[in-house]
Amino acid sequence: MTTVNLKSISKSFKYALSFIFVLLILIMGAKLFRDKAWFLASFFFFSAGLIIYVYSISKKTPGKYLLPGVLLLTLFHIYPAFYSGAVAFTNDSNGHQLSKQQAIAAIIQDSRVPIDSQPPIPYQTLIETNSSKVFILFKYPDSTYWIANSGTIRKLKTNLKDIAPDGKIIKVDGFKVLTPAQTESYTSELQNLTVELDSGVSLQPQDLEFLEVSKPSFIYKASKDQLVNVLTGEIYSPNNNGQMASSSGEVILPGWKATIGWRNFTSIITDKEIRRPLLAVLIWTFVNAFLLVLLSFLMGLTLALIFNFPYLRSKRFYRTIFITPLAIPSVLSLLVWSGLFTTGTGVIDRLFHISTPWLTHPWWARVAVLIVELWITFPYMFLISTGAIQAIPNEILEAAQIDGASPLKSFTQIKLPLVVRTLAPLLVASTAMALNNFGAIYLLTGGGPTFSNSNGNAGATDILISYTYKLAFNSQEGNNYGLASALSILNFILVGLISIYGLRKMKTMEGIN
Amino acid sequence: MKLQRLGAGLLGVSIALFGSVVPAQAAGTLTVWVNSGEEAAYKAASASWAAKNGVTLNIVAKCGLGDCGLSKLGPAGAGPDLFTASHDNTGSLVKSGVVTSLSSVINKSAYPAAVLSGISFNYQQWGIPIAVSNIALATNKSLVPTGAPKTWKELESTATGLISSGKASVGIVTHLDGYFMQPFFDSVGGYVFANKNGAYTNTKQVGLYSKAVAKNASLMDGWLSEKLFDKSNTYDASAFTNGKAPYAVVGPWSIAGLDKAGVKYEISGIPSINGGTARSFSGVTAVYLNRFAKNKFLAKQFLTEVVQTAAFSKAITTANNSYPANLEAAASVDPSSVAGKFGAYGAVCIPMPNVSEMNNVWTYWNNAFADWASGKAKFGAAMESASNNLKKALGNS
Amino acid sequence: MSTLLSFNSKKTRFWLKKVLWRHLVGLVVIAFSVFPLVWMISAAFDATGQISTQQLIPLHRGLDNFTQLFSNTGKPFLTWARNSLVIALSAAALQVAIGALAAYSLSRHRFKGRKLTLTTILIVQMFPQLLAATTLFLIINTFGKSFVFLGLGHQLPLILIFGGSALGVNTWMLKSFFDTLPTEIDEAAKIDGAGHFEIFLKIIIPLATPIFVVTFLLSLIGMLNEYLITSVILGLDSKNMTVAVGLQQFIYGQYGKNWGPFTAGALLATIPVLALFIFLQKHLVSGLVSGSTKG
Repeated sequence: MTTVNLKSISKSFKYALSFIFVLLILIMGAKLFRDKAWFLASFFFFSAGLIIYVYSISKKTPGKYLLPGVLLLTLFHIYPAFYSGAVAFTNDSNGHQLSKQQAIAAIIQDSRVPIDSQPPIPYQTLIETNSSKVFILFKYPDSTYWIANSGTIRKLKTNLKDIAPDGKIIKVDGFKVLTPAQTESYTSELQNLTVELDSGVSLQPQDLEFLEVSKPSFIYKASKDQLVNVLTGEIYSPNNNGQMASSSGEVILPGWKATIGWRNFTSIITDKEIRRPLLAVLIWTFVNAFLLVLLSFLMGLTLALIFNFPYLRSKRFYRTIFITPLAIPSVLSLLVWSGLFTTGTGVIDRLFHISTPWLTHPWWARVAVLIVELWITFPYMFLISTGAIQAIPNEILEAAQIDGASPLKSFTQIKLPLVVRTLAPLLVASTAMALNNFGAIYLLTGGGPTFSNSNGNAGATDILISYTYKLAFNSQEGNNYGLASALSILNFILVGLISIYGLRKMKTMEGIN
Repeated sequence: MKLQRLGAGLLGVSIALFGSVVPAQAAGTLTVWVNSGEEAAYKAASASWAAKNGVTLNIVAKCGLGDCGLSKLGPAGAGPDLFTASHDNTGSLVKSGVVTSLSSVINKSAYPAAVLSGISFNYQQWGIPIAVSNIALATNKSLVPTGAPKTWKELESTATGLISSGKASVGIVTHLDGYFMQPFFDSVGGYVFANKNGAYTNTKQVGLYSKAVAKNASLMDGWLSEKLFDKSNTYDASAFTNGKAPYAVVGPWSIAGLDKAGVKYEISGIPSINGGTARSFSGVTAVYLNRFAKNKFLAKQFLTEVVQTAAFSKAITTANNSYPANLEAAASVDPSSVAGKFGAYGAVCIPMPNVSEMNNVWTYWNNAFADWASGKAKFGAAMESASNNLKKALGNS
Repeated sequence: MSTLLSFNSKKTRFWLKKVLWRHLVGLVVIAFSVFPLVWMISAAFDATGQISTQQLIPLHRGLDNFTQLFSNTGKPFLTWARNSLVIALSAAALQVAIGALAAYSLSRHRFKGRKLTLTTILIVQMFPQLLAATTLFLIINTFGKSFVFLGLGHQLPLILIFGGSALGVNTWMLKSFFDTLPTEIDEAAKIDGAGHFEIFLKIIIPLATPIFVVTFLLSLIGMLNEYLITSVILGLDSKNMTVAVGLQQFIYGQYGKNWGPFTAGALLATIPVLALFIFLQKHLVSGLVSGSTKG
């Protein structure tokens, strides 16, 4: 009796909980929708629907276990990956962050030249009674009164009785005249207000009381999509790189974010400045990953064999100390290593009484990187090798001994193949990770020493991912997110292909025996 | 049925509730991003203005040194109203469209010409300068009782004398890169870009391998071989503090360490081989206005009423040991103090070029110094290839 | 087996031939393993800490670096430590929970698209999240405009992002382990009337404790180590930083690196993880070892 009650209580509790949860997601989706975050709002609504379907309607159980992980994976892994991929087709980079509208507004705004000896003129703020839109009222250049906002401007016919002794207008038909205290709540509208007169003069509020009078040197002709320099008469039209350019190639900054199709990808091949260092970086990416996995596996396996000796006590002691490198946060140990590698006066050089240009010479830097990567990876390889060796059934080994096989033969013909076959999937995974081994490279050498003939971003120890990162966030020539995204896609394809190849090979190996 | 109505009710209430939780900035709030460690100084210097005007000042330490992701943050509406940056970022900040011109706000007469040129770009001013900082020469008074050298000959002979007598292992402790070697580079006639009236207008004229550099390159090789500079290119401050080196090139950030080590030192300029003083790079810290600021009026008011004042400049620079950019504040600095000595030298230094092409320069220039130091190339050859590579890179962009 | 104290020459000779050299190798490898740790300790206790010119026995011994570390208001180490713990523990727990649920289903349920899911999980992890950092930044920034606690500079979005990486290599490892648990257990429980989730909670989870410990520990270390996405989401405000991000501030920039407090902080950050390692090494080793054979 009691179990049934408990079960029904827990069931209704579960229902209530999930109901509230779904409601929460719907509410958040609604708020996002109101705040115009279209993609996120639709994601939330879709997720809510999916949750309801999977947990109440569908009979299939796998979905119930997989859904939370899949939702988070989609939002924070898959979507960003696709979005970054899309960026690869734009010229998103330093100098191209604004939209076209923002860029043109910025150019015009910054080209304003104050008019000689024209002091700021006072203005009043009005609210149109029908539309509640913000307008300003001012007198320029002599005694003409204007009512204007960013879109419209017209003269005001004034009645003398509506003008106060200090020149301020007391009332206007169809508008509410604000007192100075009331204007404060309209600050954000006033900040973005620009009035343009036919004479080319532009007036902008510089604070809540005064207008700044100036003449921008550029005028934008929307119908022709041209920017005209009023002083020189030069005409600028959009070029294919999201900038306004003249016929002679002169470019005005800032530019804007524009879609440029496959140009980022083709520039990888056609642009010498990108192609040359990229080739070296690619080669080193493969060499580094291959050597890292090979050397650490050999070291790990050898140590596993050595320390698997039954008569060796204190095995556990060694095992614990060997895995110390895994216990130190790599971000910290890598930085410490970079200090230890200092030439001449560094710890390593002093210990061995040598003076090696560890971090300044390309080949020594590569050696240093491999040493540190080995230090980080061998513990893991040691542990999994130990596991694999211990998993070899004793019968096989005994049978080999009975057959008269020497220890060496026992190793090469039985132990090694079995171990490799067992560990193959992990080795493939390790290679994939080694191809993207960002931390060890970036924190130790920064990818340096920099190639002297490159554009300053590529160095002797750079692998594809560190090179891409530097291009996107640390570039010498201004961050180039577009190019970096193109390279990320390349990186992904590369690593993916190698992993698939490795997995296939692994499957065929399992097929044998 | 009941459940559904309950649900709808909850939905409605929650939307209403959430609608009111708007993380927007209230009018009367200003957000300023400053360099990490400086929030206290900025807060103290603006507190009375904020109180008087009823303004909430959010002074946040967020890497006030450069772009700091503003090119993405600004248009996304996640940027501050004002932020500090060092002036050599001006070019790239303007290029990214993130800052807006302050020509109508700045009071040009309050600043020296060199400082103004640092924050000028395209005939407009973009930042309000607060502080000037530069490197200088520190002389170890225990090793060199006569104090700072007045001429290059004095420096060279003192150093080589100490080295040959075994008392010193190196002459000048310094980094062998563009920024630190600039005064010596200037001494032998090198320059980065042609400088006209303080403005770097012509980035096609590169002076890394000027005629003077070509002629004087052997001097640099000589100085390296006589251990005036350290081949290993490691900045070993302990050599200076332990009396193994008579001179060191230091910045204001080194002073705390020097004081802690208890070494007696004197700050001075770096003498040039042609007599007079060699020019280092000076860096101006300035406050910039975010084009996408939420409170432009308030920000401009803050700039005019607070940032441009001598008192503000004085307060900030006293706190971080740099020299005020404001002329009036600078006049009140004790010339015999460490900051005063830095400032006196800084007055004859040239501002770092603020054009975005400088990023390319640092790479090739620093590589050339590294090659020269490691012995891979002689100074002349290293600079020549750097100059050629730089011209090619600039020609391409 | 044989002890050194026995002067049985045959046994001693055996030991010398077969065992001594292994100890020697072990010593060399130990030296290699703890090398940076030793110098970190020296530098942490050396007041003139310059890691490059560090002496093994510190010249100016003292706790200066530690006092400097704790008294720096602009770089609040304790706040960083708290942030690191909160984020890492929550994220690791989330990852283990999500991973365990998914792995259980992938192991027990044969459904259409199972293989596809497994391969997709592997493939998706190959696109390094760090390159999508700007997108993640923009997503969280958009969140922040609607919900303050989900915006930039807060810990919740970061924990959720890490949760997004839960379906990865760890899931594979958990799945492999679940595969070794015979399905007969499930069958028996089903006969007793247990629902699938009940089986998961009451039977599978207790059996899988060692592998959960391993996965949790590996996740924890991964989260403590993470600094790229952390710095992008948490921003540059000093009081939001974690230890991994914050300590780098001491050695940021080309000039004026302050290795003393850095190594002091690094040492403090290492000790708890090291202690956890030693305390759980039994589980850890057996877990990794078994994970390899079933992988």
